[in-house]
Amino acid sequence: MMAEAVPPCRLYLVLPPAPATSDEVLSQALAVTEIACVLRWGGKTSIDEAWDSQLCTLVQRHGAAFLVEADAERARRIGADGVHVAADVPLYRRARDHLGQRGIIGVGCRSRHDAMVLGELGADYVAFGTDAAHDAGECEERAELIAWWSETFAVPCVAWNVETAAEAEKLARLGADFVALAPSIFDAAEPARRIAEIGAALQGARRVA
Amino acid sequence: MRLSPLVCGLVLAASLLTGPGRAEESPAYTAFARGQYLTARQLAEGEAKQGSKEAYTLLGEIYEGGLGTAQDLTKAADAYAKAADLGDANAQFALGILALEGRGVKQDQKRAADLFELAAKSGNAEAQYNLALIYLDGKGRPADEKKAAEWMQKAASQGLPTAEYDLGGLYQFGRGVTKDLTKAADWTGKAAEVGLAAAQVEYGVMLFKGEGVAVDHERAAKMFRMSAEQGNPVAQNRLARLYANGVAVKADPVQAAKWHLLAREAGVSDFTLDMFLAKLTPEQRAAANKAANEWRDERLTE
Repeated sequence: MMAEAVPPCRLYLVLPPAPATSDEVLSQALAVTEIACVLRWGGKTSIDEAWDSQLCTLVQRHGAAFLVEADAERARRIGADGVHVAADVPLYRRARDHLGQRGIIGVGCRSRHDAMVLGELGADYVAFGTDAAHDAGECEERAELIAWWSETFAVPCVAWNVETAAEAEKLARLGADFVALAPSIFDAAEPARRIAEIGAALQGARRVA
Repeated sequence: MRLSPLVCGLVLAASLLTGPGRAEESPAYTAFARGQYLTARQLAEGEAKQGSKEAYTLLGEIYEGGLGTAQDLTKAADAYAKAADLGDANAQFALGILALEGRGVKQDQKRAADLFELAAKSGNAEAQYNLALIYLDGKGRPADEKKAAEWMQKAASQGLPTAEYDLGGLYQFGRGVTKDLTKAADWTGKAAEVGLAAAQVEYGVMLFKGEGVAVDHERAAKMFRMSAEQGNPVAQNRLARLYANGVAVKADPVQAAKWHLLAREAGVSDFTLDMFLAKLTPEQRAAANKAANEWRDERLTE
């Protein structure tokens, strides 16, 4: 009975900075796998903004949320659902002023302290994990943070920069509410299929947990 | 939210039995209504030879439905064609549907449109509705939103719920008619009142925002609930949001989670509600899962 009560861990996609991801690949991924949220990483020029605006429409049409990195003004201009910001109190406050209570503001955290402060301020989620490629030690640290957070706090947590199905499954079991895939997944061959595989692994984790 | 007034799709020939012009007193029909299909077919063949158009239509229905005999769409189309030539509006409509779909006859959208128009002119509401859709779609007739709106109006005035709903959509977007949010709300509301789930959620949104109708959050919530109970995932999502935020209903996290789970299963996901769900206690989530399961079970036994 309790097995079913484990919240399904949902997929979160992070798009790489350059517009290398064709909207075709993204459409495909959104069509075959249940995706909760798509974050556009980087992308600061006006060309990027036009592109983002298209991506936003595409993502929202599939029922997923669209977030942009850091820039709350840009998020509002293109009709995105919110932003993902670094753990920094003034940054968070500015974003909240721009987006209001209904905008989604997620925070990337490096420490327990970051997560507790921003969680209390009203962050919609806290994410644990490094932005760049990580080593075994960082993976272990991320797992510890996820387990600790989900045990104690109500604010949803996101396992950041996840590369494989095995990692995703492990973090879901530890209590991650969302698994954010590494943007490098879009550089690999057949990204939509790899995303689908990780999605399938998460469903497995949910059943067994 | 309403993407196109075409969302309801085509009304199929399910309502022929109650359509106008049926010779309800004929022995063939009486047998048919009792489910005595073999007798009905024999009697109808006899009546058809006497030139009864209703008897041909009945034969068409028997062959189309495979009632007491093997389904035979070619025979069904032939029988409908005879009745259609004799001027039976139900048969014209039924044959139009077959021609539209290419079942039993060659697919021919123009022929379908012609048949719908014949039946529509005799006052057949389903045919009027389908003719309106054809004018919107531009297949079988050149697209003509004005004509579409005229036929939609006729079908809606006869109380066909899908036509009421789509006429509301035409007024909402000003297609073929002058945009008029009050009329949009009126017609959508009529379809909602008789229980069309898509209309209920649309009307709920109108009531919520006060578009073409006075703001009424309580009534909007009722509309969402009725539509959600019928299984409309958009309505389930809206109802979940109301429960999550305590708007127009008492905040209830378990109800919010229940309706969110059901909506998401049906393809309407919502990241904000996903995060809401993640914040619940294991007990609340278990209760929501249980409530969602019970809702599904109840639907299965209905």
